[in-house]
Amino acid sequence: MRLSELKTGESATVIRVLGHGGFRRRMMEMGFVRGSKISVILNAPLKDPIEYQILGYNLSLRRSEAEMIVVITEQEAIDRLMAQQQNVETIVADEDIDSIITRRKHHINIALVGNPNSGKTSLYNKIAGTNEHVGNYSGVTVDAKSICCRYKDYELHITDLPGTYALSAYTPEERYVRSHLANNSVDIVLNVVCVSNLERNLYLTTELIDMSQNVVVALNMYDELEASGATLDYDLLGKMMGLPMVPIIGNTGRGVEQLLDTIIATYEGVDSHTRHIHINQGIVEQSVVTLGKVLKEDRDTLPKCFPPRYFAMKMLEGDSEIVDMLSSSPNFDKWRQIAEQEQEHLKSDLGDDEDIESTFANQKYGFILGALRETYTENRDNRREVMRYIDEVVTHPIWGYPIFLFVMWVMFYCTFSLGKYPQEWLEMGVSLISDLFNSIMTDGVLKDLVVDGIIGGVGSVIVFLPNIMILYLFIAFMEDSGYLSRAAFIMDKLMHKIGLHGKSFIPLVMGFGCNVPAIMATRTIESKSSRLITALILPFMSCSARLPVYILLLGTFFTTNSGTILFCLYLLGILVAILSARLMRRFMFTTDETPFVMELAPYRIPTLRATVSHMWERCAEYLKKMGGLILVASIVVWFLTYFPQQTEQQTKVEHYENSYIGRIGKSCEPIFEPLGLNWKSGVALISGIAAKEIMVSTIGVLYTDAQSEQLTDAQSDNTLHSRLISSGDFTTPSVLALLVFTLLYFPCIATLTAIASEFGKRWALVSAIYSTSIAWIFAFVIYQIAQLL
Amino acid sequence: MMQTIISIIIVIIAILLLLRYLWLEIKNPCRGCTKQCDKRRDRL
Repeated sequence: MRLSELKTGESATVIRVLGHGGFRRRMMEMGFVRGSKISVILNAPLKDPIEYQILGYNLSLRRSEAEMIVVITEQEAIDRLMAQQQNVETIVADEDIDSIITRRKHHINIALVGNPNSGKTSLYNKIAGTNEHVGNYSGVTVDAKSICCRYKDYELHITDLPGTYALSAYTPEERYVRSHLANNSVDIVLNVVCVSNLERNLYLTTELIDMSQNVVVALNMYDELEASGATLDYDLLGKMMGLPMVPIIGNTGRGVEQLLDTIIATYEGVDSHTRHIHINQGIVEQSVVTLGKVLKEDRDTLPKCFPPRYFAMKMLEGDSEIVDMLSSSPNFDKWRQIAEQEQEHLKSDLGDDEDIESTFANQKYGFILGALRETYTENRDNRREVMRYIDEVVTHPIWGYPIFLFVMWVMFYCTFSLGKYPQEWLEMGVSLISDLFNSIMTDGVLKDLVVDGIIGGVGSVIVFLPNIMILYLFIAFMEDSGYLSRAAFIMDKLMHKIGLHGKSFIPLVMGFGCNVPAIMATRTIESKSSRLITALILPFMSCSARLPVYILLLGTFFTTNSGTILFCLYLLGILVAILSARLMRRFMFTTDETPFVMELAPYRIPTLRATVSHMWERCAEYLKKMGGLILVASIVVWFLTYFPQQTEQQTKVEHYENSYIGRIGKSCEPIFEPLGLNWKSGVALISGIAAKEIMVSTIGVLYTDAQSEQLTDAQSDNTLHSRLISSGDFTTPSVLALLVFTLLYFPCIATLTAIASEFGKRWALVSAIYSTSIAWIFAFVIYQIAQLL
Repeated sequence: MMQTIISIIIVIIAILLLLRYLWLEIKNPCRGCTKQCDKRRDRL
């Protein structure tokens, strides 16, 4: 607990003093060291200041200062001991309190900060992978995750904060990270720096230096720097910046142990690099010093989370959040007056070309550049040239688009054509299993359940596993190589035209995999309206769950040009998304709040192992779904199809129409009839609301053997394809309508829930109604046009 | 008769499991795949 929480007459033992610089030193000089006993003598009227007794003398502290001192009371010590052992003496010996203090002392609060894409999460997962507990804590707009782990007698509590480029109040992430550093007693800030872009990454480090935090820098992806032939004297750079730097490779875990050792050394104050430095702010420096001096004099009324110099810089910059933080202080008017005077001076000194904020940034970049000039030697190898050349081609203003479309086409073509062969083998396997059960089981309900329900349903979906694998192999390769961020770059202009950020492209691309993580990924978009529009158009990005439906229908009815039609379907989804975004920006959200800046990650040759493992993760999830949701849904659909049982007078077709599912389908038929779809397609579409793959398993169950008597000899291979053709339920226009409706209609339950949790139930409802209406309209138009042709 | 009883039991279990699955999905749409999401976000 904090010293300020103690009531009059209570006493406690000091654990540590938070804060930094002069305040911390002064408090320690006055006897606020670990193990000192302190008691509250009295609270002044209005409860501020408070009189304490420590080391036999009395002193008074303001409540804000007392808040910076962590203490432990006897009761707290008893509680802690009780948690560890059942029987405890009512009187706690000093040694017990000492042991608790020592343990508390060995608890290090670490905040993981860094630029986006600097490999923070990889490092976090590397540390978390070997540890006990991982928790998820959601913020309003961004997430922070926490783990607790033990390392060499120390308990490390690591919080993974969202990626930021700086620590101003510009984006929700920046605000979140800064408030975390201000409000949580962070012992060490672990700053992850990607060495492939030192200059930009170190900008955040300079901001942390200004905040006077205890920083340890992890130089991530150090192998890339070594491979490029460049050299970095990180020891010297660390000495210059006054903080330790440790080279690591987050993915493999190289250097992580050394990093943890350095964290402990810094925490214990024995690291030789750690010292506090001031970055000279050039022309602004004098104003910073003037205002800083006044703030320092009034430090009693200043919040203790940051040093006076930092507050001075932010006040001069006009940082609204910091100004708000200071506004409750009684001296605020005086500070504001001085800040305004200094701002006026600076404005006249700087002229119209530069403002105060950019001067601060320039000075910091100047400092970084100077430090790097002495410590970093770039190797002008061919790699950069090759990268530049590739970039020129793939992000060419004219060729960029056809190249992107070609890459997408190749992806879908391969998904279809290469996947066809293993798909046929799997179909044969499923058919063999079905025959086996047919022959070994005696006729009856259970046999029908196993053969028609389970094998018919799950088997019809599992055969598309190879296609899913190929699609994910392509997506993983494009993501790993850095091509997708280039695609986002070339799409930026188009995105702007439709009223979105280039940044929206990333969640949209993720949507091709699964819409749920894509909805979560919209959190990286700063602008609220862009974020909402992106989430609302995301269901039009055809997720991989819909792929089995397309492959089944295209492979059955469009065998010659299935790859191209599949590509066109995805394009149609994108087109509808673009149109929707345009309409929403035009009529619902007319203004956009923030400009767009996105970094282009360097090209990396993806390793076979990483690509295959990403692909496998996805496939494992698909298989898990087969054994879970698809299996139970198939059984339920079979039940609804099978009962009421067939009477002797009924034909199979009549029985199907009279079954529970037939009755449900028939009642919905008027909705689907204008699209050329019968009740079976309607039922399949309704079942797809739970998860899109269920559509295929439902079709698999509904078309088990209803029309088997109508099979001709040529079609007697009895695959689902041949059963669908022989049923006569589908015409080319109706298949097209079904494909388009599947592409655009109702997002699955999981996606809808994700939208509801991110934006509220109202927007989830809007998404469901909007997408289904659009799906119906497009399917109707396409059906009518196809009929005319 | 035996077959019918077993089938009905299986169907009841399936219905319960389906409801449970949907309920869990509504409670947490990205259960079990957070780590994977992070990895993808990192790569992108």
